[in-house]
Amino acid sequence: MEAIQTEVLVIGGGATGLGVVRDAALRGYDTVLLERVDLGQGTTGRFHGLLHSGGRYVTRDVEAGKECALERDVLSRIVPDAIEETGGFFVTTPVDDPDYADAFARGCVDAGVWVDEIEPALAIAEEPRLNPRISRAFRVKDGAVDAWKLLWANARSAQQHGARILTYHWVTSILREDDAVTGVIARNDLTGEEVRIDAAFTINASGAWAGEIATMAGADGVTVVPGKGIMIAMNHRLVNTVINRCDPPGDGDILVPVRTVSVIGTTDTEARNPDELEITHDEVQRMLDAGEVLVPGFRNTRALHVWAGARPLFKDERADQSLDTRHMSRGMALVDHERRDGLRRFLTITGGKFTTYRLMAEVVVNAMCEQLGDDRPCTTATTPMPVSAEDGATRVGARLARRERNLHDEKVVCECELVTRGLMVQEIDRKPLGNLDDLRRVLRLGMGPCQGGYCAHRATALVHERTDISAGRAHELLHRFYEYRWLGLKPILYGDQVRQAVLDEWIINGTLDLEHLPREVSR
Amino acid sequence: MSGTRVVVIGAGLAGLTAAVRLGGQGLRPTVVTRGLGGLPLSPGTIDVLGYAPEAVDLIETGMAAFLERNPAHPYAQIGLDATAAGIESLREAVAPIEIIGDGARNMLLPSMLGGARPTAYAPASLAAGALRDGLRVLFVGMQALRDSPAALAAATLPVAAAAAGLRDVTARSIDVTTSPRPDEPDVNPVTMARALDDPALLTRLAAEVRPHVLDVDVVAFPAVLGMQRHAEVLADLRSNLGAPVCEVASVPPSVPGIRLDALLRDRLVALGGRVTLGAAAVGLERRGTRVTAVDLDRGDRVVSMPADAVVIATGGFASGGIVLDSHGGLTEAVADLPLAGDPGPERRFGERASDDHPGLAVGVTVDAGMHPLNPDGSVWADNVYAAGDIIGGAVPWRQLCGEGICLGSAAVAADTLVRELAATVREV
Ligand SMILES: Cc1cc2nc3c(=O)[nH]c(=O)nc-3n(C[C@H](O)[C@H](O)[C@H](O)COP(=O)(O)OP(=O)(O)OC[C@H]3O[C@@H](n4cnc5c(N)ncnc54)[C@H](O)[C@@H]3O)c2cc1C
Ligand SMILES: Cc1cc2nc3c(=O)[nH]c(=O)nc-3n(C[C@H](O)[C@H](O)[C@H](O)COP(=O)(O)OP(=O)(O)OC[C@H]3O[C@@H](n4cnc5c(N)ncnc54)[C@H](O)[C@@H]3O)c2cc1C
Repeated sequence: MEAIQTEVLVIGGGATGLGVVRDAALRGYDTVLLERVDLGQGTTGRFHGLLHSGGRYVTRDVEAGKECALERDVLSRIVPDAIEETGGFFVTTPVDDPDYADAFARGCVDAGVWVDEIEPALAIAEEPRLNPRISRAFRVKDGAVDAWKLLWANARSAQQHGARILTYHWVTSILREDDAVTGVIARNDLTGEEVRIDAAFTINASGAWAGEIATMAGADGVTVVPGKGIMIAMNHRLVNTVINRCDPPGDGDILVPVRTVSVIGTTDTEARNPDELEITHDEVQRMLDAGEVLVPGFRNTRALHVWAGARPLFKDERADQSLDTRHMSRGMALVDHERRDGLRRFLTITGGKFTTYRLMAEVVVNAMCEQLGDDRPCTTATTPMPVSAEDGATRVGARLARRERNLHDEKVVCECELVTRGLMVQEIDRKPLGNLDDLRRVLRLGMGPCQGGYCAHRATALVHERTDISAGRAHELLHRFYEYRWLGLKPILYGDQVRQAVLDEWIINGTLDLEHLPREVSR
Repeated sequence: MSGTRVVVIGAGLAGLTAAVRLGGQGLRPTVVTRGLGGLPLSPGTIDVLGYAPEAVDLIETGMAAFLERNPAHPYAQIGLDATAAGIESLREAVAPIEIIGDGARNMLLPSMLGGARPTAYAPASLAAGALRDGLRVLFVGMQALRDSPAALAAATLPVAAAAAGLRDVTARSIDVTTSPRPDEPDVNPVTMARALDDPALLTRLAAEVRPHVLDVDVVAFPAVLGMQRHAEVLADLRSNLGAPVCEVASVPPSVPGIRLDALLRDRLVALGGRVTLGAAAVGLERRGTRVTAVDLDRGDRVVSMPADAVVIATGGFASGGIVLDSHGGLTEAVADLPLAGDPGPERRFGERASDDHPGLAVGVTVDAGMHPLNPDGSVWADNVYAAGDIIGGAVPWRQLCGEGICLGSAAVAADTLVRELAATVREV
């Protein structure tokens, strides 16, 4: 069995885990991160894309509001190219509680969340598709965040400080010596081999799966309830500003412009298992109704894709809450297993939000340093992350501008998202064992209107050209890509997207006859 | 009957074929259409029944067994004779392009990714690639095109052909750089096809390929071998390479489909018919059991076009003939014709992409004369006919039966229309 030694081992490759590994690496620790699939395939790639101003929380959880207000500024300083400063509005629509607006405004002041009430007519002038019957409007500092860009930037930053980030490494058991955690056993799903990682300290940052990992370590009763929420990406930017309903948080009350789309969300229901998040017809209908309230005519616009994520909602069944989460809002949960379970060299960090992931990392690494008696300051809030090679791609039109410059040099593979052959080749060469979804998460391949109908076979041919996979394996990759895209299509097939789905059927089955191509299922 | 006003709605394979067939019988139909049909996007093969769901070899036997299991399939009303008649109309209309196939057996053609795809008929350029035991194929990839995965096709074909029961099919590939615009990385297939009408460019292409034509039975090119001079391009290339040459059907935009589309339109105009683009039919005006006019949305206004008979060939979901709205409601877009086959909102789409999606087989039900029917089986209107994808009960992109249904239903619709119109004229 392959064996790896490290000082700090991080479990989970979502925002939190990547934040932790970067934080620890910047403090000079030797670090390894394990993620069971690809980076951002947990809740971090299945969220709403909103860099919270804090406004959403001010009436219910002032601490969370404060944290967001501070952290959103930190992130926009250290990783500006993953963030689009769209600004946001809180608007009182005809169906919202008219009294909430005053409570909201007071709450913002209390939490230190920047807010500015404006004339509704001004909000409508800026966002012409907004419901014309709004009665109040507040400007806030919401933003849109490209989760994947932020993750890759974070990962690169950590790697520049020596971190080893191992994806497709599934933690299957946790190693203990007496009262201390000493590492883990993981399965490398690309090779099928087992790997042993010995670590001086282990941090569990596995989000909605944190209870499972804690149980593996022998710390029972850490319950993380998966709070399911669905989101729908609508084609085009219906708005250029984040629109929030000025009402107590409810279903479908936020519309976020993210790159070329607008994302409506979300819902909140308790799921049994974070790996099985069903999207129902009814939930989709509720999102569309909610969209109509914000932007009349919403139902006539084209839905591109739907997904569901699981909020890690922390519930400790036996520990003294005040002990562990005393510095924090209810949102974020640091579980000190030494105090709680008498288990040393092991901490769990869960709950929270994407917006506060850096702070969560700081909190847990501080706790680790305390336990190790190490006095190493956190520098993540002031150290900028490496700018991604792809300049400013969060900006709408950035790829188009780039395309205009290189029209005569590069072939386009994915027309919807303007992914060039050069970008593809670079990614494939970097991760020759990857699948098409891995490419999608980095490049947005197949995320535009055609959802892969035109580009997926081109990507397959490129992977076949650049790596040594067999033709059968290539067709299996293609088949799987369509299967996974379908999960996010089936619940929202109506209007133009049905037309697209049938056109894609004509291409994929009618012309390419995909279902009858030889396929090789490996590993 | 030359003064009669026949309106065909939709300019896909079904609408154009129906119109050409009507034109051939002395009528001067007007084709009104919102946009282009699916033909320029289609691979250009004429599928009758490819999968039932097992691969079909003998079409008549395959069809009989298939219809026993699928009694609501459009072919149950259309029949293979009508399909053969429709093929003849197409053959005549696109005459400079020879349509190969006798309708008895499917041939297997190499697909763009190297599959062995069954089809009943195909333009000669595609049919020249028909697979057989021992065939040695050289796939030519053109770097200037986005969709020309020759290496993957060559790696796939031997395996796919073996799985289809053929022995010893082998394949190699080369990539060539010939391009009309060497300074541009992407050339549209239509541009490429037009450019290859130029003998100079064709000679360059042949020169690049020729050294590799050794121990090869057929040289398989992307489907860009000429547009106006397609036949000459094929002949030149064949003699220049000293080997048979074929085209491999591709994803949209598809040059073989574009060629057929253009020839069909030309033929229609030659017969005195016409095509009006940018005219979406949004309603039919009825008097009693007959339709008297088609309401057309011309962008700025809705106009009424008088009609003595109407063929609805607006296609299925892809072309907007059938609409699924955000509340889950299904409607036929022109006249709210009754739709059949809806399994209900929860079961329209399968769990997996590769499942059959029964909701996509929803469509209009017709009688043996292609009259749309009411749910009680009565005729919806005496002088309205349906043709093509709008007819429900098929999953054409999986059963590989799209063109056969279009051509067959177009032939029946046109012939019934002519017969019935003649009868009413006599009555009057
Ligand atoms: C519907 C919804 C909308 C949201 N919207 C927003 C928003 O707009 N703004 C915002 O700030 N926050 C939002 N959030 C919250 C935010 O998305 C999450 O708080 C955050 O992404 C959690 O990140 P994480 O790294 O803790 O967890 P995750 O991203 O889930 O990471 C945990 C990782 O651990 C991995 N893992 C699990 N088990 C193992 C194992 N055995 N071995 C190895 N790895 C393992 C998982 O694969 C996963 O990648 C939203 C959440 C939801 C559900
Ligand atoms: C802010 C934001 C904006 C977005 N905008 C768009 C957009 O414009 N267009 C668009 O199409 N989508 C958009 N999405 C959605 C996106 O495409 C994904 O659906 C979503 O992010 C979930 O991503 P995922 O990578 O985890 O994979 P999903 O697409 O949800 O699922 C496929 C992945 O799950 C894995 N998987 C699934 N089932 C299994 C299994 N049984 N075993 C092993 N692995 C499995 C596969 O490996 C595959 O990688 C957006 C998402 C966000 C957060």
